[in-house]
Amino acid sequence: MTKLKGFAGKILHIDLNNLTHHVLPTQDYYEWGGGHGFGAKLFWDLSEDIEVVTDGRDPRNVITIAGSPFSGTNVPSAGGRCEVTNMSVGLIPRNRFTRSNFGGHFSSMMKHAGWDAVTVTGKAPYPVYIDVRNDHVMIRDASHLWGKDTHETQQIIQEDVASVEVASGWNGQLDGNSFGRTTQKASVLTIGPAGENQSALGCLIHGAGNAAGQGGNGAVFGSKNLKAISFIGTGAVDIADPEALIKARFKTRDFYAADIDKSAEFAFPSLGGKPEAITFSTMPTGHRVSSCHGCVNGCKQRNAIGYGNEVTCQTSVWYLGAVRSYKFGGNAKLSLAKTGVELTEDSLYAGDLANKLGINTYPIMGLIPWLQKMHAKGELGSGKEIHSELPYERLGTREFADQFCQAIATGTDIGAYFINGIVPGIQQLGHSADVDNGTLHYPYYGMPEHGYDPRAELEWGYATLMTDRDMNDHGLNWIYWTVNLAKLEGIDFPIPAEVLASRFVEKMAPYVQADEVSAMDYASHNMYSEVLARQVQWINHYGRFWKNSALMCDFRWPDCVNTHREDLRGATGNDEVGEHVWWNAVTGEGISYVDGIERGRRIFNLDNAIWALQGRHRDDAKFADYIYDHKMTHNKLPTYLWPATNGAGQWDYREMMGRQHSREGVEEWKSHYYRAEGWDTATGWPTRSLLEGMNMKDVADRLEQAGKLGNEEV
Amino acid sequence: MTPEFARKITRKLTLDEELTAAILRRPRGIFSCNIFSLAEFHYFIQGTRQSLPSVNFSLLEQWLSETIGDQFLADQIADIETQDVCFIDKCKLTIPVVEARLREAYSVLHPENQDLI
Ligand code: SF4
Repeated sequence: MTKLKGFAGKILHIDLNNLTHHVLPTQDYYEWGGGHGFGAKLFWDLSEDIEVVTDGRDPRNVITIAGSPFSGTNVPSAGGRCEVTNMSVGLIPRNRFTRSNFGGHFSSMMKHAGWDAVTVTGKAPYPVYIDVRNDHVMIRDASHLWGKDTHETQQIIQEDVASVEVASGWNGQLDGNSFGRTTQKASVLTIGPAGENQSALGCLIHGAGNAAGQGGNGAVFGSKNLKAISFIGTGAVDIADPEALIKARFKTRDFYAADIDKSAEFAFPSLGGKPEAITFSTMPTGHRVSSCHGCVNGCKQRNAIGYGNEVTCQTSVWYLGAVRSYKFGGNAKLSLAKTGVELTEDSLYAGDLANKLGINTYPIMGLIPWLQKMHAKGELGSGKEIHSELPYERLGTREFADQFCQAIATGTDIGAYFINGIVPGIQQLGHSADVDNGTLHYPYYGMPEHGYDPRAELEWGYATLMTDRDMNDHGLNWIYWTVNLAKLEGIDFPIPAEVLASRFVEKMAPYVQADEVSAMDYASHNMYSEVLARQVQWINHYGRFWKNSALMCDFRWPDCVNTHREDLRGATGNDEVGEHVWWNAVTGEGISYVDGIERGRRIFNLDNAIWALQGRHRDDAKFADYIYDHKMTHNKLPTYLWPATNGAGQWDYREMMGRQHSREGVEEWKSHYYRAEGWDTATGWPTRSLLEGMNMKDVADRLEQAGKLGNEEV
Repeated sequence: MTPEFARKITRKLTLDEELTAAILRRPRGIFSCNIFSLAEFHYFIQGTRQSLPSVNFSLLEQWLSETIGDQFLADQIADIETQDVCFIDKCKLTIPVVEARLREAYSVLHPENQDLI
């Protein structure tokens, strides 16, 4: 087997039906890049019946956890991300092959142990966990771990792995015939009770709070009787050109490092930004920033209070509203006494709780106020229309959070209604209208709004419709946090709208030409345009390779505009510090930035072929009714500015509020998109000529066999 | 301010009396925030080091007047709303106004407890 630079060279296939493992040579998958590319190709190769599996909890589901050549290296904000791919649980109108992603040290340790990815098929006859120590792979009985929370599970496994001590602080691990040593702990990815109970809300947890939950992958582990996967390795990543790598690091610092003396940084953290914990609210005193492997600007934290570690972003706010309303309800004293820290601590407690039980907090956050209202209306409670014994009058307390999370994780009490997801649960309870009319913000595929309304932030909605999930790609979203914060702060935003739009468009090769600035024009008269379809095509293909496969972190990449540099040009596509520079330094290949995007196109088309086999059709790609039927109003938001032209073609930052999507308009936009991709506009399925042009004749054959091949445009 | 009035403006509201606002937090985005008391609003409007409050000032004025039942406070917010300052400054101007009202109510309801008055 040829050892490829940057790659470990081996993919671990675990067959749980037979409790065996096999080694797949990475070389067979090299062209798919890593991460998502590996996951999609492995899903294609190893799935017995793509067409008939309709739920991710089917034992035939294939789940892959994959690193990339960057995993375990010091490529900035790319060394520790890890991609998870599997058939989903709990999405509407149907489940589909989907993805999620988490950070930390799992993918790097997997690489250090000598593996690029682990892919799991089948179902174990009893609870097991996978214990990998360099080349030594064990499928072990997990009955002592079943029922344990995610933190306890990791600790037990880590203590077991580290039991071979050769010297204080150093752990010895067998590595073939020799004995490797490391000071590191095993990296463990595990489920908690939510996954064990196969809840669609179950997620995977690594470390204190690195989570992958989108698509119900916790339930997938649970359905396979798989509690955890652990890696410890004493190796390193073989870099093709270490000097080029280090040079690019220094160049990145020269170009983009934050100037600590310039405090007026009103930009979304970009490459070179200051490390900062992105935990919401007043941080408890005493915390330090932590990061994923090799990240130059960490965004997580460790707290002196001993809990809430790595409770960041969404997980730190899911219970916040309830805590605030409970604490401050009618109590002037608390507010006057400035008890913000106490409030944050309760939110962190709830975040920790969700992480321990392995619950995906995004979907449950919107449920909390809904439950509160149903209870107040007398429709929810003991013996009520929706029966539940939880103490709703104490919603907002730690006690309620404990009971609620237990119910969700175990599928008991109120959790029984939501074991298949929030929107399916709401529908089952006869309250679909609350999803349709926007009382609940789940605008696409039964998934919660990320925080950016698709009526304003067009690319977020469109890219989600064209893919499998809430796109969770903050590449263009940088604009929201710069332009709008400046406006709210009364700062005259120093970059003219057309210049900003141009800087983004410059990076959108090969789909948008550098002078097609209209690709960033979010005016209502341009919202269903063909050029906007190509912009989203760029997002999807860029994302599929550079972010989901090469595993560059979404919080830092793409770096389209960077205010740390005078000409505002970010690192993306740059020939000294761009994505391809890192790729080439690590792997020894000689690809261009656009070559990477082309690889993303191929991966994305394999995804679409899988979706087509799974029953996906153009008609699936719809927003919830409220996105079409109701205007986005100012009732809680002062502004949503975005670069746009007026009728006379003049650029400015213009207001996106007050508009809604039209069904016809979205359909028109979809047709543009399908044409841009070369998909059948009637069905959204890929065509033979398209697939064969990307060397995927076998994929075309299989689609044809299943009657799912798109018609060629005449 | 009478004790009845103090009690009224500091009461915990019922669920259909909420003020719907939002919190802006990057990168999580914009998320709804339902406010159920004046004290909760006072906490909310201060924002945090890493987040901003987001509220429609016209709706706020209406909520204070019609739901909380404090026309004096509503008028003060109306004054702030008309000022030619940025949104964050409007929020900042709101804090002491609401705080003074809360202190007043607190001093009427708890005259024995001077620590927060
Ligand atoms: S920015 Fe945060 S999530 Fe991204 S790699 Fe760095 S520490 Fe990890």
